[in-house]
Formats: sequence, C-alpha cells, structure tokens
Amino acid sequence: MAQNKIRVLIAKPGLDGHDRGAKVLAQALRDAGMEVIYTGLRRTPDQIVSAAIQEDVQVVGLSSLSGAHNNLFQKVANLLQEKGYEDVLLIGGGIIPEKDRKQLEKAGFDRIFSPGTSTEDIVEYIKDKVNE
Amino acid sequence: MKDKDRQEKIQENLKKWREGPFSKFQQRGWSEAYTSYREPVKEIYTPLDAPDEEYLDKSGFPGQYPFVRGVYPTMYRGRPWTMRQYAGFASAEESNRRYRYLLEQGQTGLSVAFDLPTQIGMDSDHPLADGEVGKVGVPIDSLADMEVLFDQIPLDKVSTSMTINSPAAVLLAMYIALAEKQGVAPEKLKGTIQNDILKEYFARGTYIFPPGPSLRLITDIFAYCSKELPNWNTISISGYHIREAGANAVQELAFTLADGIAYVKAALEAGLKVDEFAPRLSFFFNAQMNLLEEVAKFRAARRLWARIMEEKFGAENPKSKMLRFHTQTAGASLTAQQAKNNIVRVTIQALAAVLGGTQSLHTNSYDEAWALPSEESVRIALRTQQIIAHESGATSTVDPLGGSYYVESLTDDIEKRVEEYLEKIEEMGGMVKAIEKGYVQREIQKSAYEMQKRIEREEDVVVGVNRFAHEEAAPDDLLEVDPEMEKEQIKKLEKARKNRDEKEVKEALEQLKKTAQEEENLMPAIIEAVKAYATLGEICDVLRSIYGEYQAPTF
Amino acid sequence: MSKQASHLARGIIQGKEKALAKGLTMVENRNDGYRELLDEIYSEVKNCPIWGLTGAPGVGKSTITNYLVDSLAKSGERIGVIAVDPTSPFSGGAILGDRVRMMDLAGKEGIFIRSMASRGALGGLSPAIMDAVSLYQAFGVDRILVETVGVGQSETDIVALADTVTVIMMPGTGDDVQTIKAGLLEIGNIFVVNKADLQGAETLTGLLQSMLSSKNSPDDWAPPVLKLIASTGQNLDKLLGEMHRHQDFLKKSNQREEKEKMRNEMALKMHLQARFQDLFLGPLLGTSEWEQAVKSIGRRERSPAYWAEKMITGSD
Repeated sequence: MAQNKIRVLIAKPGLDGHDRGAKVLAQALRDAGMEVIYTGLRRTPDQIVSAAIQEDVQVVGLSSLSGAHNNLFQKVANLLQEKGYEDVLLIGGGIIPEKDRKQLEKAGFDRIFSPGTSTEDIVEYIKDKVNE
Repeated sequence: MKDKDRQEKIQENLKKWREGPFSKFQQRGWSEAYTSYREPVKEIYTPLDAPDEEYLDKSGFPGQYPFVRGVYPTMYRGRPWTMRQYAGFASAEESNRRYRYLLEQGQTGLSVAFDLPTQIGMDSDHPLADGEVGKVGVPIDSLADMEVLFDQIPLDKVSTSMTINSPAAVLLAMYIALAEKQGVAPEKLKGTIQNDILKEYFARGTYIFPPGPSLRLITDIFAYCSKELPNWNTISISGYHIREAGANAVQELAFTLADGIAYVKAALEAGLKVDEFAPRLSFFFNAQMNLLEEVAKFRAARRLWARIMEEKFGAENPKSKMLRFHTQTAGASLTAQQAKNNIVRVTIQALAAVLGGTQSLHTNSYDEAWALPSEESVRIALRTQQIIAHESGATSTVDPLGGSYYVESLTDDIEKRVEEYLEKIEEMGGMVKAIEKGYVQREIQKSAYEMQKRIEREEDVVVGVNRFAHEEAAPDDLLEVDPEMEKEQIKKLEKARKNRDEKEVKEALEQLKKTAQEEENLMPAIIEAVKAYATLGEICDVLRSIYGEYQAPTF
Repeated sequence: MSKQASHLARGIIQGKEKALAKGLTMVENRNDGYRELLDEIYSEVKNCPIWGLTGAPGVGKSTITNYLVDSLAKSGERIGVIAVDPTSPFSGGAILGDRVRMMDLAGKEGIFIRSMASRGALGGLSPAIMDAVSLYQAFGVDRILVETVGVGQSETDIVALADTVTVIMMPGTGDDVQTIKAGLLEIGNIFVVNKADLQGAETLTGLLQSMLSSKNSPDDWAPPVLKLIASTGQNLDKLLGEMHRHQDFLKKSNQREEKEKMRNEMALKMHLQARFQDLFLGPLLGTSEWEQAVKSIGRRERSPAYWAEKMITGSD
C-alpha cells in the first residue's frame, strides 16, 4: 500500500532571527499531515538546497524578515535550477515589498505569501499544487 | 459605615444586579472576552476587586516603593518621556549625516541600529553576511567605521543607545576608544547598550556564545562600567522581542523578569554588590493592542521588580528597586493589509505605554509590514507621540488609570501569574536551565500557534485581515537599500585592515585570548584590541575559539 | 519491471545522490516499483558498520551525531545518516528537527543525511528504515548512523538494526531507575550521560554503573558509561573511541555475522508482515463480513478473537 506524505523543507536563509512565522507554519503543516523538515536559523543557500535534495522534499518554504530576500531567495532558486531540481514547489514569506514579490515570482518562485496569510490558505495551496 | 459592612452591601447589590437587569440583558446579546493570556474577563469590576484598604501597601505614591504608580513623583508633568526612534541606515556615513541633522534639530539622544552581521559578530565579508550587510542597520567592522559614524559628534554632549547584545562589549569598547580619541573622559559618557543575551536564545536569535561565557561578558561590563562609566545603562532587559515571538502579556513579563533575576544573580556571583550595579539596570517592553491589559502589565512590572529587588536581593538603594523602561509599539500587530490602519493601532499602543508610565518610547511606522519605514511614515510615527504628549491630556496626572477597578484587578492578576512562572523557572534551576531545556521556547511557541489559530477561526478579529477586508494595492513608496552598499563596505573593511599595524593587532588578540581563558575582566583587553583596529569579527572569533558557539535546541 | 525503479537502481549503484534521495522516497512511501528497486540493488549491497544512537528528546542526540559524522567524514569516510522522529498520532504529520543540528554538514562531500518519520510504526522504526539502510549500502557508504527517539518500540528495533547501540541519557529528565528498568540496559552497548555539568550527573552515572555491573554479560562486553558535555565537545572523542572498540570487539568475537543474520531475518519478517497485510488484511477491510463482525463485536455477541479466526480460516 502506498503511503505518500507531502514533505516540506522550511528554511531560514541568512542571519534573520525571527522564526515565529516559520515555526507556526511548520506546526500547521505538521497538523495538516505533512512531514516538515525544519532547518533552524542562519542557513546558507547551499545548505538549504543540499538539504532539499537529500530530503527529496516536494516543497521548499523560505522565510526572511531582514530585507535580504532579494539576494538570498534568488540564490536558492538559482541553485535549485542548477541542480536540476526546478520541479520543487518553491514558496516564500516574510517582509517582502510588492515589487520584490513580483520579481521573485518571475524568477522561479511559485508564490510569495504576504504577512497575514492564514496557514490554512498555505496548506490548501500546497496540497493543490503538489497533487496537481 | 464600616469597610466590612460596605463590602457586604456591595456584594449583595452586585448579586441582585447580576440576577436581575444583567441576566435579562445578557440574553439579548453577549460575547465572551479574554485577556491575552486567555483568562475570561468578568462582566463588571467593583470595589470588591480593588479594595481601598490595600492601597497603601499595594500602590503607595509615585516615586515611592513599590513604584506601581510610577518611578518619579512628577512623571510627565515634570518631564515628558523621551521620544526615541530607533533607526538604522545602510552606512556609517549616511547614519552620521542623519544623526547630525537630528542633533541640529535639538535632539540629544541617538539610537543606533546595527545590521545583522554586526549583531552576530561577523565582519562584512563573512560568507554568511552575504546579502545582510547594511540591511537592518549600520555595519560596523572596526573602530574606523565607528569614527565615521560619530564624526563631528561630541560624545560628551549626546546620549547614545545601541541595540547590541552578543558583541555588546566590543561595540562599547569602540565607543570608549573613540571617546578617548575625542578627549572625552569615560565617566562623561552617557547611553545604553541592550546587552541582554538571554532573550536572544529564545526570542531574537542574534546569539553567538553559550550562556555561561555570555553571562561573564555581561557581568564584566557591569563591573567595568560601575567603576569607569557610572552614567552608562549597562543593560536593557528586553521583553519586547519575547512578545514579538508570540508570548502573551504574562509570559512577556515573566520571562523578562526571569532574565533580570538571572543577570542579578550572575553579577552577585561575580562578586559585585547589588546597589553598585542594580541602579543601572533598565528594561524594554512591548506595547500591544489590549490597552488596559497593557497598562496593568506595566504597573505590575514595577511592583514585581521592586519586591524582587528588595525581598530577594536585599537592595537598599531605592534606585535599585525602580523599574525604568523603554517601550516600543508592537511590530507583530502591524498588518500588511490596509497598512494605514496601523497608524491607529500604533496610537492605541503608544497611549498604553504612556498611561503605563514609560520612560521612553519608540512608535512603529505604518509601512513596516512591507519594508523598512519611509521618511514620511517615520514622521507620522513621531507625530503620534507628540499628539499624545501635547493634545490628549493623558499626561495631565500621574498614573491616571490607578484606581480603576478593572485595571487594579488586572494588575494583581498579572502579578500573581508572573510569580507562578517565576517559581516554576526557579524550580527548574533558573532561567538559563529553563532555556536550555527548551521550556521557554515551547511556552512561547504554544502561545504563538494558538494565537494564529484563533485568528484563522476568526475568534480574534484583526481588522482588514480576517474581517473588514478589501482588495487594495500594496504601498509603493518604500525605502530600498542599495545593493552596491555591501561591496563598498567590504572595500572599507579591506582598507582598514591594510592601514593597521598587524603586529599590534596580533599581540592584542593574543592578550585577549589569554584573558578570556582566565578570570580577569575582559573589557580592558577588548578596548586594546579595538584600538589596534582589530575587527569585530576577529575579536569575536578569538572568543568563539575559547567559548564555542551556542547551539539552538532542535525545534 | 518498473522503468523508474530500474533507472533509480542504476543511479544509486553509480553513487548518484539524487537517485538515492528519490529511491529513499520510493521505499518510504511504498510506491509502485519499490520491491523491484530493492531487489535490483540488492546484489550491490555492501555490508558496513551500522551505529545506532537512541535517547529521549532533548538529551543531545543530534549534537553527538553531528560531531561523530564530522570526525568520521574528516578521516575520509562516506557517511549515511538516518534521523528518525516520531509521527504525530493525531495528524499523521511530523516535524523532523534533527537537521537543525546537522546543517553544517549539509552539502559536505561524502555525507548524506535523511530525516524519516516513524509513520505507522507506533513509535518504533518503520520497515522502510531497514530498506533505507540497504539503499545506503548499495549507494556505497562506509558507515551508517541511525538516530532514533528512545520511546517504546524503537528501543528494541534499534538492536535488530544496529551493530553498536549507544544509549544517551542526561540528568534531571526522569532518566532514573524507572526508565532504566524499562529495557534500556539490555539494548545499550555504550551508555552516555550527556550534559555532565548538570546536577545529578554523578548520581545517574553511578546508578547506571551499578545496574550494569549486576547484569550478566553473556557476550563478554562490559558496556562502558561515559560522561560527556556534547555542547562543548568534551569527551566526544572518547565516545568515538568506544564505538570503534565495540566494532572491533564484534569482529573479533564473530558477532558481526550474528548481527547481520538477525538484521536479515528482521527485514524478511517486516516484508512478510507488510505483504500479509496487503494480501489478507487489505481485502477484508470494509467488506460486508467486516461490517458484520464489527457490529457483532459491538453487541458483545462474539469476541474480536473469534472473528479474526473465522475470517482467516472460514470456520468457527
């Protein structure tokens, strides 16, 4: 009998120490029946991508509130592509201005969620996309 | 009528009211109400909840133990609170220009925000600093950057607040070294360093060393400043970030005071006398949305600290028992949706801080859920404080909500629940152990998750987010940091490294290493190292090699 | 033969990381082709030492694993890590947090880390973990470290899986006579008292030593008790030394073969159980006979034991 579970990597790239949102989301995804690999703080794009590949996750979620998203998020997206892992669902959240959101969504991100998005919406989004 | 008779009379009438008019109206409509820590709020509060005969013992008068009504006798009628807006700019040059402008405008207090690599003791060319340089504040790699930051600013004329924790000793050492260059004696220096490491482990994340060595750095600063920098606030024990991480009001207060207790104990163990360092301890709290509960929280904080210092630590100097605090309005309460509504939120929160007797205040800007604030939004935030100070009348008398049955009852309730937490933490062996066990993190995480779920179930209403929402365009006039900045900062760092005497640097770092392995105060060795233009990263690396790095508990 | 399984098997044997990652998912999910995959790589499985680490949450397993992996990799070994965390019985989901401590290792040459949830295995090791070990061994690692949360079933499972089991404890978390009695003494080859600077470390160490000395050791191995402080690295090198010593002991006393046999039997048993479930239990679920049995049990007419027998053999 197949026992598929959605596996998600939740990562904090850079030096930002605000992990409330990342942890609340991790817990919500767990409660929705997913397996969540949490990386903890201060991760480099290399570490994140390498973890995503070894863990064979279907979803990578990044969170940053320090304003370093343009650089760090972009690097994660590029690395995933370089390593032939572009089929992963790549999402992000944090303090991200509209202009940057649009740019990141053009550059490989499936979705950047704005502050105030409900965890339920994110759960639904992931389930829809992964089962597509 | 005697007190007892009067109480019985109130009791009797309250019962009649509850069974009669109240229950009749309750059937027409009624909603549950809770405190932030999920206690039901009663339908009404009466003198039974705040009896007069307890007044002298529990409240007293402003400026007197237990300081519930305020730490100074005159409060805002004597002097308004300090309006201190925390701000960081992408480079030392830009920050210096802004500081000089502010000083020309008559401001006397500066508040320095550092970027994340600086806060974590990394030089700007560290691989992990990639993309973070100059983002949330000014990058400081060496004394050379500090010289630019305070260029033409006389350090004996200003008071400088620095939001710096793990490497606080190094930044303070740079400030002292710079003062010496300006010919300013250390005893003339005025200001504050945040220097509150414990909350970094569970709420803010800019930790470097494990708790033991971190506490040594802190007590070394206490000891050094009590002799050399008597006007320096050596620590700002911060509940702000604890609340931002998802704690409720009771947890914010309990964990902050538990941190405070840990620092006092560490200082006493290091051989300091309580009345030597305790008057320089200050606090930093969050002002959230629940106006009256927040006021009660600030009042309870003062009474709790006064009693802890007197009863637990035997402090005698009244200043050792005064809880002086800075407040910032709640960043986590700002919504990205309908961002201008945040102006109203900030107003209510700022009012809570003022009615709660804060010594200084930072008001957030409405656009901070989107980016660093723009100049216009910062101005509105400051004007909010000015309107409260000059137009609202909230400042006309000391502790105007003292005597409100509800607020007094909440003050007592919060105090009681905080004491329960403090006892529990004490049983675990103190705050450091409670953090290492992950207890504090789990308590906060639980609160944060439940809060999020309540919002999603619409049990808690957030206007514009889960109720009264409408589509609107996101703000577009946001502040941007030039990505070229990082490269320029790295060039400056390379230049500073080239211009120094390497032999001198090596010797100073060797000496620092030796001191770190022994028990001597670290401050003089750090000051020597910064004077030789050793970088922040180099100094912290020496300490890392001796002390190791803190490892966060898994989830 | 599933094309995908074949493709993955080739990739794993050639040492391709991505194939290993995808293969692990396939066996963990029991997706179509997983049997073919396992069978196809099986001739390439090369035995290597398997070290198990177990202990309650928060005792410092991941920090210790992190150190071990780092030192072993520095000596040129290729290391496979399996970090097991419990599945939530309520949602079926899990938070796999062990990587927090091992992120510095992520991406380093020769280190492969996989987090796995215990899934249906009631706190024990899921059968897929056995298979994951086989995939690692076909991929070509020199050593496998399996980290499990020491609650319930997994304690005994880890014995069947690992050659050397290290039990990690710390003072002040109820690691006292009660829990020690619960079977930990039987499974550990090495005992670690971590956070030895905390109060109660001496007591716990003494307690362990006295309980171990009173135990018969049929295999001539006297399990050492090591005090260490993983966060500062104190005595971690000693632990590594003891692990190597136990490995040599197994080799000299010819017990490696025994362990290997036990592991093979366990794997066979697990696969049989899974097949029985698929073949016999699966088709019965939800049938009219099933519903009838559930009703009858509810009305206290006949027992579940009666019905099970009847459904299998067809007779009362």
